[in-house]
Amino acid sequence: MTGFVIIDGVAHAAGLAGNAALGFRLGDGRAAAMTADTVQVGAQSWPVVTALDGDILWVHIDGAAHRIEWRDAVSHLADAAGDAGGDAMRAPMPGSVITVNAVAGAAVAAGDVVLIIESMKLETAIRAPRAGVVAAVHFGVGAVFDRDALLAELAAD
Amino acid sequence: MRRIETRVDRRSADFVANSAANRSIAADLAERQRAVRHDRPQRDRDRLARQGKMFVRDRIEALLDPGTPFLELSTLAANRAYGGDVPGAGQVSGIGIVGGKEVIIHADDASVKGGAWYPLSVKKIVRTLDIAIENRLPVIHLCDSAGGFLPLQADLFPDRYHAGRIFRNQSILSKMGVPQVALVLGHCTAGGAYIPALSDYSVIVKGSGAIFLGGPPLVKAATGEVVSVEDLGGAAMHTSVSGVADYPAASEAHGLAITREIMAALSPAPKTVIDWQPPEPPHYDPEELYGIVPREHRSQFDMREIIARLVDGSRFHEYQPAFGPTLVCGFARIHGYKVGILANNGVLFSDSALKGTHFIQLCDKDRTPLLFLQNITGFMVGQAYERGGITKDGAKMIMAVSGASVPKFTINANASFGAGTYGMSGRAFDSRFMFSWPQSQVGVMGAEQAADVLSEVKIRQLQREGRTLSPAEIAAIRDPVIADYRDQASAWHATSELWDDGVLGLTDTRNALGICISAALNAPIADPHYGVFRM
Repeated sequence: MTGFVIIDGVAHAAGLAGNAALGFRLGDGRAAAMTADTVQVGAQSWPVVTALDGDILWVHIDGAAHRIEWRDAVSHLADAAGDAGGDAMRAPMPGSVITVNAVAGAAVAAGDVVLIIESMKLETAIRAPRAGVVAAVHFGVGAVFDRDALLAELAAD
Repeated sequence: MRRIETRVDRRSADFVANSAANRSIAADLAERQRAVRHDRPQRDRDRLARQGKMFVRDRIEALLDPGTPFLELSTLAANRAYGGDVPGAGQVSGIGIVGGKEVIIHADDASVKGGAWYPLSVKKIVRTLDIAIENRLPVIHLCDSAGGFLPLQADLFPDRYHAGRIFRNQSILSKMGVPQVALVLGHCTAGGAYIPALSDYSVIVKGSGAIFLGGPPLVKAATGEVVSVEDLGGAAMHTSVSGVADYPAASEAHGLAITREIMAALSPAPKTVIDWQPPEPPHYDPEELYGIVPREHRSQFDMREIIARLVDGSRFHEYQPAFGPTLVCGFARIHGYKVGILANNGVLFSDSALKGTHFIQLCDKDRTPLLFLQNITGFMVGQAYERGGITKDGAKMIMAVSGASVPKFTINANASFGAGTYGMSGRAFDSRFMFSWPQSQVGVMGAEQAADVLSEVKIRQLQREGRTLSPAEIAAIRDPVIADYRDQASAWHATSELWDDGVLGLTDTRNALGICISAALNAPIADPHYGVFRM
């Protein structure tokens, strides 16, 4: 297993082994092949229409469209274990708060700037580790904190 | 390896404003480079034409294998010295391919003060030959120099790293078995005469090329002998009588062709093998670097976003992602070569320094070259950190950086201050190549802090004399210090003084590193061995 193919939201462990030019072999042992407009499994084949959008492949087959996504093993397993980024936003270094951008109850996207801190003459943005709702911001503008202080946190899902 | 997932919002106001600022700096860099490479007073152009000489850039173009890249080094050397009158320090230096071999070229630029050597010219030539020694790169010298610039002789002749070092380095290269070819295109007088003489192969152009310890005027003054340039040290005499040079050439183009033939005839030296895979371009567009690097030095940014736009497929295996997060460490590939990257995401703490030390040793054992991406204001200060032994942890990192046997490469991506410069393989730590981004700064501390320290000293001194200062008087002391300090900390100043090997455009960095890594692999890599780590 080198990663996961997620078909319409369901993850399947998958990987390429050996020489891909020899074709694919499914988990149940059947040989499979795919070209730009055909999928073949054993003796049977289906016409398909595909569109690629980054790591997501849309496949139209038998009158229905399917979303197929490739995820590498480490990212997929980290997400599956709920480790994609916790609720806490901690101070990477001691310093003081210079800007607060979000209040408790505000909705944020992953990567939104919640606070800006200053330490050792550097301004550092503290960003939301995931999308969610801000549960609390523990320090106001001008407040001084130590390293690892809990600056803000998101509400648990 | 996994792809870095970007968090950059290309539509944000910050991204747009950063892009505008950094693109304007990139345009400034391009214009400075263009001017240094091509703008010359008409009378100097005319003089070259009269002498039947090619412009140095045309010589290099004719020398290189067609269609191959040339990485010019220290293009902007001396841009802030000698009133800006000596572009490139009168020298062109760079890595290219000649006759199928990677070589480093040292070329005098006779369109600048007749190719006279200024102190920074000597520094640039010595650095070029140091690069040749460290990386075992064959050297091609294109000799066309009027000799040392006499009014500044005290700053270019007597000291350890002055002109004598050029000839010492040539001798060491020969001893190491690294070939050198000299092409004499003008007069090589006095010390300059030793460049072709110390090269394994030398070619001299009839008519314009000459080699002698003393030219005709000096000979006449010394002994009264009257002799022509051609008879004293011309191509025919040296290639058929004295044996100082090996091949006579009928023209510059002929000389360049002979030089190419010599390089092609040399046996290729085997290169050091490290982990390599077929390259892939970065998944994220390197142009986005313009929007990520902040327009304000005080703003911190995530170095992973920089790494994602430098490395193959934007793939990065991060080591110890949860420990010492202010130093990002991990493996990636650049043009297929595996590298270990150390990149600053804030000040260095004890844990980040220990992580860096450990990671350097892992890479050394794994025979993986190191890439340092500097954005470092220094090590954390304060009682808790001193009691925690931050100084000995910094010392461990410096010990590892100094001792690592694998090649090191350093980019000052934004800031390089204080002991952070040491821990992150600054100039003194023998990175094979070191480049600055155009907006970067380097110094013992930031401008504001330096101004605070210096003005504090001044204020106390005046207070001892019984004077108190108004805020306006304090500002009058502080502001000029900040301006001076900023000026000296700039990349333009750093590269003028050869504190780096050149200023690199953000989007040129990946290709430049590819050439540098490949060049570095001409030298073998010693087994890992270190000094004592203070525990």
